[in-house]
Amino acid sequence: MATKWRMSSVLAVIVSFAVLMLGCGGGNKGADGGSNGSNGTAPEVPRITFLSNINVDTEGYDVNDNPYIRYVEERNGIDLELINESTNYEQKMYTVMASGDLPDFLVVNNKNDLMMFASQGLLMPLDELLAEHPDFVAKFEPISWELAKWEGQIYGIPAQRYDPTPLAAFALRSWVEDAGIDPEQTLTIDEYYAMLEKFASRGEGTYGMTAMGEVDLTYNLFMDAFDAAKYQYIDGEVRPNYILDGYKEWLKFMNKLYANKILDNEYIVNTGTQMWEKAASGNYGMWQWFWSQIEFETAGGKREDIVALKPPKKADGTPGKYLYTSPVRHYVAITKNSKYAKEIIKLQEWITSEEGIIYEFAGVEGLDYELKDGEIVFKEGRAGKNAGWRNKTVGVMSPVANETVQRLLAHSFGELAMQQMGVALENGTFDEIKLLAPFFPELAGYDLDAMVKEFRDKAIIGQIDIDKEWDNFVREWRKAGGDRFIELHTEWYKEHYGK
Amino acid sequence: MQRRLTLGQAVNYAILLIFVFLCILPFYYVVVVSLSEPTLVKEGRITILPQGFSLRAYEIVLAQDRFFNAFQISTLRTAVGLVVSLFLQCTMAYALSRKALRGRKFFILFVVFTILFSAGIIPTYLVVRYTGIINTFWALIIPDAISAWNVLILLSFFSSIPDAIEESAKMDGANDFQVFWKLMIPLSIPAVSTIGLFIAVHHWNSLMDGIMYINKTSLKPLQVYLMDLVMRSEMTDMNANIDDQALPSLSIQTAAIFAATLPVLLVYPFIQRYFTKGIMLGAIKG
Amino acid sequence: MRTVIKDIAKNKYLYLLLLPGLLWFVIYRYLPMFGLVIAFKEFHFSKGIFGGEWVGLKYFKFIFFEHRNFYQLVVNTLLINFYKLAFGFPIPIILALMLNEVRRRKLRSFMQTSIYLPHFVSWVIFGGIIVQFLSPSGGIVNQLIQWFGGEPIFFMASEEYFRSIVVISEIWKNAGWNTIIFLAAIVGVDPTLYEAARIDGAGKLRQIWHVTLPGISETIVVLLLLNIGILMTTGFDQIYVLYNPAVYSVGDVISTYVYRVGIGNGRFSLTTAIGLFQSVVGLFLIFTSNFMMRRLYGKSLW
Repeated sequence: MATKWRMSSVLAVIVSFAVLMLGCGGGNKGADGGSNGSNGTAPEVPRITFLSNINVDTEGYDVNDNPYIRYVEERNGIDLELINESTNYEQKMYTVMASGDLPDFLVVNNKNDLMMFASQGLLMPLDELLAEHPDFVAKFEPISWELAKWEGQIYGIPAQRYDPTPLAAFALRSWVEDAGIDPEQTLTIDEYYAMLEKFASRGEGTYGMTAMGEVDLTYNLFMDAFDAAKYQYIDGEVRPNYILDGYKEWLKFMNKLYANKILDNEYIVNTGTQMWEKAASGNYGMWQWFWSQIEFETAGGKREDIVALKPPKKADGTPGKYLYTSPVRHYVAITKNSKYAKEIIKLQEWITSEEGIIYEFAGVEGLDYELKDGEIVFKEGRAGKNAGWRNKTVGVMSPVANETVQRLLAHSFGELAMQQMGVALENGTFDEIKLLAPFFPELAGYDLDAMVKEFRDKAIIGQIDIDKEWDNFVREWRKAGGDRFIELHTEWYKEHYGK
Repeated sequence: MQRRLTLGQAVNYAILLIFVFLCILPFYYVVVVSLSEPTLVKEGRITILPQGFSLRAYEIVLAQDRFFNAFQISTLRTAVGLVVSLFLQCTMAYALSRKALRGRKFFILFVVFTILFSAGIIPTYLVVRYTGIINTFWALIIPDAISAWNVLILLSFFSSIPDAIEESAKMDGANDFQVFWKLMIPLSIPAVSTIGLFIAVHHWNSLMDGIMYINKTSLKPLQVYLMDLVMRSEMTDMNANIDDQALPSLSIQTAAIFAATLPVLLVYPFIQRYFTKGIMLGAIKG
Repeated sequence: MRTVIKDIAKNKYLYLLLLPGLLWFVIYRYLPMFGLVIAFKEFHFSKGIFGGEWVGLKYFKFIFFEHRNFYQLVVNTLLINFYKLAFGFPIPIILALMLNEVRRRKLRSFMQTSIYLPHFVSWVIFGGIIVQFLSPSGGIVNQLIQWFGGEPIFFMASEEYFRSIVVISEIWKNAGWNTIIFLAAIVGVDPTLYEAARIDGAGKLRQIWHVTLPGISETIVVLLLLNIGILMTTGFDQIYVLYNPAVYSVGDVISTYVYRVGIGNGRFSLTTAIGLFQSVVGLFLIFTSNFMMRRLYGKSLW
């Protein structure tokens, strides 16, 4: 029976502890959400809910109660209530949208999801409202607005990147010089190969390049040179890049790099962390990623040690380009029954104004910087701090890297980075057909991408004979749903381009 | 008690120690990495000793009020959840273990069915919302309050107690509830403690309900906070420079794991004794 | 009918004990099951769960006849889980028995605490550790192979080894945690039975075979049957962290496919139909095993 007493006492302790905590916690729990209820004197301040995938700020701010959000609310006369989830955002978004408890506006990462929500009547068409803000609309590229359209109407404000094509190949400066190459010049495929080969033969355990298998943006730099980067219209059909002959050649080239131990032989299992550790280790000559190279520097690398290279030329001598997925990073959609559409659009307009740009790239005066003779002077250690956070708490961002943006970025990143950004911007391209093509829900179930990836990876690491298996692959792909894929895309293409 | 080690015992020890070593290894790695100088965190080798010593990762993970708030929420939900879940699961499991319960088979199947069939995230979310607990503390307690798995395990333990015990108690005039509370539970301390441990750990590690059902930052439990922190360290930021708060994701992840696991490690040795208490059936029979 | 009411009245405390849990199940498990109807409808966000047009077996037809290799996903799921069960189920039991023989309290306590540590390391990190262990360029396993004169093997990209890696890493991570329940069961075995066996001249192993194992058989049966019931579902995290396209043919399972199709595509009707399929198969499996268990050993879940 002693055990019974002990059990009961343990339970009693737990319960009383819980009651205590609930009692204390209750006080705290009341004081959050609706941060600006404090002024209480402005009942007309619209309370707008925003679902977004902001991350936790490492300075410990509550997402709804911090100097930045207060600044935004103050400058725009609104009360912004953020619902944020960065882990598993898509799952949360679907659940919230299905629950009927819709936020006023939200971040939608995938064009597909935007189309789906639009087609199922959850979003408000924005054409009329946008017509009242022609200057704002003009700041964005026409293609960005195209991407946000469903059945001819605009359903989201595109968060166009100020660096639409942000990718470039980066190589260790000293290695490039040792290989006798001028980083300014444009190389052919063979010259690239030769350079990477020299990298790999520098010593024990050195490789020409590293990459991350899961993210093909880390190794697709050669694709355009083989004419294998984009969907093409051939023989009356829209064909995705991965069934084109050029793609086969690209695979063979990649396989050659792999087989000769020029390409990191473990690239297909590299996680992001591993790839950057390798890049910063000094044993790998080249990699491809965003000009900002934040991961590289976080892993201990130094920007002065690397150069941005130009993409390889095509066989006919015309310049190749770095393929990037989309100029629009995400979309800001307004839900159908929101009462605050006008205020939301004004808010987005604000963030693209000079004041908004300064807010986003520099921060809040007094906290992050001070004005000295009209010039922004960053406080110690504040340049660039929390910029990503600020970016996500409003919606879109400045769609162009105008003078102000560049000046502020230069503060954070340095002049060298600006130059490297230039290389990325001047040498990038998009796959127009793939970008503009609508979302075909029925294709999703076929899981064709998995099939393509399987063939690609096995081909590159040499588990299959590319020449022997190629025709079979294309045939199987078509049978597995590829024909339907082509059919749908071709039909759309003909209508869209009036062929 | 034998003083010398028999061959059998020696082999036993050897195999166990090898397995113990293998199990400590990953955790040791986690701790070493979390204490290493972040820029030296090299994933290429498993390091024996920390590379450089740095508490940077822990500073970031632990330093904020946010951490303590999340920690408080998790502790609270574990404590309350433990009581609520144990109550619901033990009462149900006990009732199901009694042969006198009419419709017993049906009810057991009723429970088993829910292990196999689940409605999915959205319908469950809608029910949680419909019952009015969305975005409240109770959304962390109630939707997950009963694990059918645990109920069935408890059921098997309760079933294995000899009928004679119940019979003799009933002959002394006890009703079912008294038998349950005064007799069966004390006799089942190992089982109940084990299930209690499972419940507590489940609450402590729970991630998805915090994401789905909670919007208020002040109610976000520990795992959600830690996961957000990890996600942030993996983000490609277009506008930011090298935020000096940004550390390699691995440093943050390992520090987060250790910070989250430590309380469990500290508590476990104290409750372990409940598992080792034997049922003195022989004594009770008399 | 009257006998039913009489029974309930007679055992009213039992029903009272049952009631809270039962209520919870009805509300939080059975009520949401109405959502399963999505599998037979075209899910539409603004029409909700009960709106949307009826499409009957369209999605089931899709997965069985139109999907290029759903069969392969099913096979991978079943095989991986089967191996995990066959190799991974007995190990915690054996470990528990072994731990039970450790007499020194502190050593035993230390061992028990250590073996459950990997359970708390997330799959993301644990998977990373596995990948490094097996790395062809620096991993321990390959270093050993080379030491013995062999060539390094790129395990993670090889179809031959992937399933074994999944099974072994699962055991490494969770066997320790799974011993806890068996330890609790072992402790519940009547000690006088061991006395009796000792008097009859039984040695350690015979005691285990004739006393301990039968004593914990209820627990073993329950856990075994439940694990068989979920043979068609795998956890997502482990596979997702460990797999890569080169091993899709042996490692791609239903849950990873559902993930790819669900996110960024929102195919809820499809994913619900697949879930339903998994549940039905699980039901069949558990009924059959329960039946066989009752026939062969006289023990069953219900």
